Amino acid sequence: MKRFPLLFTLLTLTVASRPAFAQFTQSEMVGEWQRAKVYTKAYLDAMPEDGYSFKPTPEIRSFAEQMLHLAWTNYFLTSVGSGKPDPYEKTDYVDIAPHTKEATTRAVMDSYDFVISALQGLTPGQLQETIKFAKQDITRFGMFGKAFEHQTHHRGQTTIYLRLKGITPPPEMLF
Amino acid sequence: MKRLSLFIAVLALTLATSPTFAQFTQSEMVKEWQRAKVYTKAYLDAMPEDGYSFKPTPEIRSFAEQMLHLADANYMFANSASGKANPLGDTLPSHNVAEKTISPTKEATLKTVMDSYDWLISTLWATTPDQMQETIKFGKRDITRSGLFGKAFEHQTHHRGQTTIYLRLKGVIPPPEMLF
Repeated sequence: MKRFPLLFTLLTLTVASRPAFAQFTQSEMVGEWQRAKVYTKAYLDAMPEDGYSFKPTPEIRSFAEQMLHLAWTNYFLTSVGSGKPDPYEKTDYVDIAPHTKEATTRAVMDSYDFVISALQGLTPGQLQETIKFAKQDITRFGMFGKAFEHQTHHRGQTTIYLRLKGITPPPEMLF
Repeated sequence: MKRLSLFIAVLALTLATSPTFAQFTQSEMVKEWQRAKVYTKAYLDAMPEDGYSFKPTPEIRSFAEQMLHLADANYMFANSASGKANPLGDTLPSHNVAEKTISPTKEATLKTVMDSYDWLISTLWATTPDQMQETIKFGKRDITRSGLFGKAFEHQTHHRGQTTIYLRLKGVIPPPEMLF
């Protein structure tokens, strides 16, 4: 009978301690990134070739530059979050691919694949490790969250590039 | 010895199973929402009064409408995710009640948007960790309460992002990206 109270205590501890952390899982995060990739692809597809150099105002990024910045930052933040080497560490984002529709699309899609494989390659234990980024403490998992927000922000901006080119943007693909 | 091996077995199980779920905590999520609120406030502050009715193209939302839509969606998602009654109302059109009813001035828009973040954050705090993991229906979809708060976060990021270009087209330099 001694056995049972101990088992019960530990089981209670397991169940009680889990929910405090049990929020967004690794597999959910992978699913979100897979959706994000498809969502961004719809934007890349929607913009015609001649819109890739389009800038709403002269001082800001073109559509291709927004997308290459998104791709470059996918690599950068993933590299910080996972420890995987960043293949473009020494490359300016504008130089990671030619600014054509085909080359930009490929570079952006490759960057999502890099994120997803890095995310899948980390153990749950590693994802919870706290690392330093720009003097801040953040978990590896948290870095993937920041990267996710970053690509949402820049894709969002390009919605208006599409509108200004007379294109109806793809519907919001939250699911 | 039997006891010890049982202890080890259960402990191993605890350690092995909890990390597969141990990712974003509720307090981390609250912090992210508090940052998001400040970030959106910087955008609302940056746009001058006369830019609130500005539309880059005639068929789309004005700056004020984008921001009020963001507020409506904060209420709608938080209502579904938390189960708390939507202070804007329960009827289906509450989905765009702020966008349709709030005067699109800078002052009224700013207040409505800030209130929507405050309400969302209060519902996020009020949801227990156990509840956060419950799977609920959103439309026809199954999603955890926590997951739905995540969708809400993506939604406001997307719409704030769009308004970056509204600021640029009005000759305003947008606030720096506030990821941290």
